[in-house]
Amino acid sequence: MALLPAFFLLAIALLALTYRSASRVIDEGMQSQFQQVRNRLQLNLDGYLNDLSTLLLTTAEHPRLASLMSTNDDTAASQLLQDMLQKQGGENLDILTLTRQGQYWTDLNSPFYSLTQSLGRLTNSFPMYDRWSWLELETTPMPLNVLVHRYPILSPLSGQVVGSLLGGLVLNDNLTLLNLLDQGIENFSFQLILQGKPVGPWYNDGALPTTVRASALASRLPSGQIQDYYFSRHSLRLDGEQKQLQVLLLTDNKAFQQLQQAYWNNTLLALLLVLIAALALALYTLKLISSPLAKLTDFAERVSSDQQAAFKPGHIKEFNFLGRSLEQMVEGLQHKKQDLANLFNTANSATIILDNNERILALNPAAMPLFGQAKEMIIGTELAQHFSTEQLYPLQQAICRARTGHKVSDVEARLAPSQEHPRHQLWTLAPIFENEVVTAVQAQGQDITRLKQAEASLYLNGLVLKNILEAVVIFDHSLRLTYVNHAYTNITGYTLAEIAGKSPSGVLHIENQAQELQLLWQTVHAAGYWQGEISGHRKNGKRYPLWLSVTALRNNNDEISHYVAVFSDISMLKDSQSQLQKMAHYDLLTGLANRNLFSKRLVQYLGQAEQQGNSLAMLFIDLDRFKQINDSLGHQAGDELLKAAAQRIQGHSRKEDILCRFGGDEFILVITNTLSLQQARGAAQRIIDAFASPIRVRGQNLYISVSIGLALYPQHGMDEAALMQNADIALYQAKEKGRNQVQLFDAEMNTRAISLVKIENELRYALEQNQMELHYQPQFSLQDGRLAGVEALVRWNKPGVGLVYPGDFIPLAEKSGIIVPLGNWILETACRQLHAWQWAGFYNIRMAVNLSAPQFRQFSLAGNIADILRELALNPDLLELEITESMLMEDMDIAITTMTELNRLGMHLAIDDFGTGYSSLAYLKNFPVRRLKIDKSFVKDLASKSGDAVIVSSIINLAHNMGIAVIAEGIEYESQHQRLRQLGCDEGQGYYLARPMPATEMEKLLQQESSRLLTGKEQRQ
Amino acid sequence: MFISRLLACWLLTGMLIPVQVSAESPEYWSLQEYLQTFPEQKQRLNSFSERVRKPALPREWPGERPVHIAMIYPGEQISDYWYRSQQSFTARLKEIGVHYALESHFFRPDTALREQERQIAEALKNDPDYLIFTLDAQRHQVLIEKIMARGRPKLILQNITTPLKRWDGRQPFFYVGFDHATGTRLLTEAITEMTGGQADYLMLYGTRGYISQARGDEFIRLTSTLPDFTQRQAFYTDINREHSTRAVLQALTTDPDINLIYACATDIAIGAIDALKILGKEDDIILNGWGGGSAELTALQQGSLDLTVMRMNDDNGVAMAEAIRLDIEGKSDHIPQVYSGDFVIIRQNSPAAELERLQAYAFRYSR
Repeated sequence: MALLPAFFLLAIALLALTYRSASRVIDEGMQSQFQQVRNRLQLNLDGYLNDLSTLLLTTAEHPRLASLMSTNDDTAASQLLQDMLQKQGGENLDILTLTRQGQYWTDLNSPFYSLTQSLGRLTNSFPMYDRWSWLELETTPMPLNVLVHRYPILSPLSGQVVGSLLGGLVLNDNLTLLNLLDQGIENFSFQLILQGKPVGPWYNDGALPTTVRASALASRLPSGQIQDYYFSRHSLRLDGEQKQLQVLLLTDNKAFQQLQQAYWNNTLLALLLVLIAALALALYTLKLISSPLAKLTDFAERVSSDQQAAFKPGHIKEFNFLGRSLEQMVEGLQHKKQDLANLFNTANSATIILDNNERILALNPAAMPLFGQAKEMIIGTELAQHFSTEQLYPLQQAICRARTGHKVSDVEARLAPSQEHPRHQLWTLAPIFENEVVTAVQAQGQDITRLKQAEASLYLNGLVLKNILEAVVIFDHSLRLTYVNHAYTNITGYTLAEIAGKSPSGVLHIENQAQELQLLWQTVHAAGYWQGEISGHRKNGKRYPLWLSVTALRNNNDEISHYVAVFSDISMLKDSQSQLQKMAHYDLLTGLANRNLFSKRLVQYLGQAEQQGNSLAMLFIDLDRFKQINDSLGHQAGDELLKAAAQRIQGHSRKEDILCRFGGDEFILVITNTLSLQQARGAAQRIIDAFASPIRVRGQNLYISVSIGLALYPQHGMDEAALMQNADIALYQAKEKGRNQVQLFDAEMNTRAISLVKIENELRYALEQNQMELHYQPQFSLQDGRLAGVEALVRWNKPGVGLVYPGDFIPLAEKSGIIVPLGNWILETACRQLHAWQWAGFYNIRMAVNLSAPQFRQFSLAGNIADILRELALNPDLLELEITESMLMEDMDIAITTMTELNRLGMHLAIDDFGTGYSSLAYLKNFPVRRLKIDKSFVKDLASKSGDAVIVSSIINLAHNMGIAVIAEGIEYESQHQRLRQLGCDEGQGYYLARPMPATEMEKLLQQESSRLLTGKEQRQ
Repeated sequence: MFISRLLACWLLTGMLIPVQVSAESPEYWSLQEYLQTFPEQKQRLNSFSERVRKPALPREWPGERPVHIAMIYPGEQISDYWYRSQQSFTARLKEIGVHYALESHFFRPDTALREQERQIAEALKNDPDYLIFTLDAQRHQVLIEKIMARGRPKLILQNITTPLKRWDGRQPFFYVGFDHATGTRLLTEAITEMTGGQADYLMLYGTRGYISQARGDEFIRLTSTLPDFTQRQAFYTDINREHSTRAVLQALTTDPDINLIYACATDIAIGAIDALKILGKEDDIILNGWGGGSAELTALQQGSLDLTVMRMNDDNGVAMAEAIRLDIEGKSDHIPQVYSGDFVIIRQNSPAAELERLQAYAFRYSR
């Protein structure tokens, strides 16, 4: 590579020499080119002038010209000249003058110039014939340089010269001449010069600067260079003679520039070649030494990768010497390395070597179990991969310090638990120097796992003893206190300071210490432990039960070294047991016996009565309308009322009687040793009378009555169940008969009860056997007669009986509870029918379904309906649920919740039998109601009773004002229909309009309605 | 019409500049060649043509000094082309608000050259800013070059749209005229459309020379790619009405299948009409005119001629006025080197109103 500049300089020197000689050649070439251009100009000039000469000669020799001249016919002569001008080349002639007998005769000179005054000079200045001469004419506005040829005009007969023809051209603005001269010449500008003065315009090929032109003209040198232009001055001949006509040629030095460009290119090329040559040389040198270098490199690589290596000598002895020296050095190093490796590998402590990036460079066999991985997997990994962040941090701190050349000890760090039981190490970190620079860090770890485990165990034990709820007291073999925990102080109130060094009796504070402790220690010594419930007293003197266990601890020599007493305060446990006992037998609210205790005691009394032949009276007591009070005043008030009622009943019972709260607002009083029915009645009546006065609850007097059902033992039942059932039946009767009274059970009552059960079973069976069916009563718009919807009405198709109407079984169903599944069946069946009609193309029919009170109170009602609607993809807008006013009012909270939920689902609600209950429109504001159904009792006498009409009208108007639609039911006559229409009732239903009908008949009606609408539309259309 | 005659005159007298518009003439560029060689000129020409077509846009600041214009025309002719040119030129100058002093010299085409030179010298004595001149004799070229050598005045060469190559680098100020090749191309397109690309045609040249080349040979060149376009016969008529009549009679006698006659000039077309009337074949053969002069328009209305290409005559005068206006406003880079006035194709069925409108437009300043 060092040869490169030398090559470079050589190349430049050669180029400079070549350039100089080539410049000389170009200068000569340039002169030669100027000469060639000059020759071409001369050629063009000669040709041009020859053409003109020929034209002039032809005219001068025209046979008529001499005769015309002799006859002095200048007009005809002018015409002849005119003809000449029209000929090829004639256009170049500015001067055409004829002389006659040595004098001017006529001319056809160009009027473009003012030649008239110069005619004399023109004709007299050319004595010679047949040659081109130039002349400067003093004309205005400027002198003219003219080039003129003169021809003699000879008499054809005598040969006498009778005149002459002068033809010529003005040079001053003769661009045409220069255009002709320029033919075949490129890249040259020129200027004609006559007697050293420029004549005619510059002929400028390209943009020649005026300054250059002026400088070239002013120059006295025949040739030279001005700026980037070359000029050269040459003589031109006229008629083969030098006549002071010159041409100044100018050209830009494009050729020179091209040469320079070429030499630049060549220089670059040469430099490139030199560089290539130098590179080739370098490559050759590299090739020469590459083989021995490769051997050395190979040797070094093998050594570095711990492979068996021997240097193979080559042709260059210097490299061989170097190789052998390296070999010896490696051998020495390997010995040292082996020694160190032995030291490293046999060490008991885990040792890791880390590089500056905290990567593991090496580890000894003792370190490998810590990682739980093969060595190959560990080498090269970062330390951070093996330690959790919090463990790594102190280690990294220590590594940083070790890198600064310090040794750091006692750094505790645990490897990330790749194993089930992590190991703990205490690390010592020391720098490893290479050329006094820390290149690695050695970490040596001491396994302290066992130490850590013991430490943890101790800590845990302490923690347990400290936090345990049981008191722990430890005595030494001589029963001196050695330890008490916090719980001891918490339980007994004594602090450690107060009991330090005391004996067990001074520590445990057990009642009847002498006896108890004696027995205790005897047992401990005999069996090794004692446990049991004993009574102790606290520091404040209060007694408390405690559960104590005492264990004797023996040492390795099987001698008792310590006694451990553990005890806990079990007073809360004792209280809980007592409370549970109470709760199991008594009603928490009233303190009366609960059903459980009642049953137990009743069984006892029944047994006694049976043995002793006594009578018993069972009074089933129920508070009348308690639910309304509870709902209106709240549960707390209800609870207070119950408590007060219980006290009143209790006030009229004897101690030996059994009084229990049976549940809700129901109480049972069993009067033992009843003497007679009258006595029992009397007792019951007294209880009823006891409620005649109001009960004060929360500052207000509440009047509440009770109803009582009475059954006697043994007349009305021999056991608890029979007595309770019959007393309940009697209570039902009492309620039925108007409440606030006592009813004695009789057998007839029992028969009715049995009938109710029977009907319930029949209804359940009927539902299972699909004996129920739905009929649909159409509902019409009273304004246009359009079928607006149907109301689903249930029928019981009882085998052997026929259709049973809802009035005959729904109240029973409501009582028995079968109403809920029945109601759900009605709802689902109606929805499926609506779905079927929609499939059949009757899209806008509305379905009204009645909900029963128990059904309405179901929390799952809304969810059930939503499921059905979703399954059938029904528009909820088409389903209308009818409920009664009383359903709303009896349980308003539930009603609002349920109605809101139904409304949220998109369903609408209608109030059925409106007018029979509360008849208050105001409350409807609270509910999302779409429609009111005016009860049929108002419709019945609508036409006859004006009062009813007023009521109906008010209902309709008020409902409309609240945005609620109105439907009337029970329309049986035309008059009712008309009246309702007049009153603005929206819709109606009733036998007059259509009876309830099975689904098949309803479909026909729907089809008729559909056709009617279609026809109506067509008619409208 | 007149231009045709004038050019024919050049040919007949043998003094026509060796104009060559066919491809690659060593001395001239055809307009199309020139625009292809100097693409920036095409852009200039388009916007300048728009300027010419539009109504005058008066100058906001008329110059204080009147522009001196010398006009030397072979205007003493039957054709009113030169006269109308001057009319439209001066009218436009007035409209756009260019103050001018015009010195007009009209001479007959056969005026002796020296007399023409005298008029030029006379005009130049007043040192005009612009000289409007034409180029129809070799001596004219010499004189133009003398003026160019002097550097003043600026030269507007009228009735020539083929710039001289020898003046490359020092072209005169402005060439203006109606480009024969452009007119021929429009006419060819209309004829091709009318014949549906299928014709056996008779070519009626003018004299042997420029007109015949620019209008006749160009037509042949443009239709040579149409497979069903066949030239059956061709005649040189010397732009002579009777020669044309005879040529048509002869051709149709020997070649009755001819269905198209292409006439290179108005007189030729009129001669052809005479022949077709004799043969009663006016309706069978398509015949064109060239130039849209009044004789052709009359023939069109009478149904003797099928179509012609009409020059918008006053475009030339307007163009010169606009070029001068741009020059004095220092916007010489808006002036194209060459301007060719618009042509419009007129057909036999062109409505009379349309013809009137076109005539009104063509002679919008020189009515």
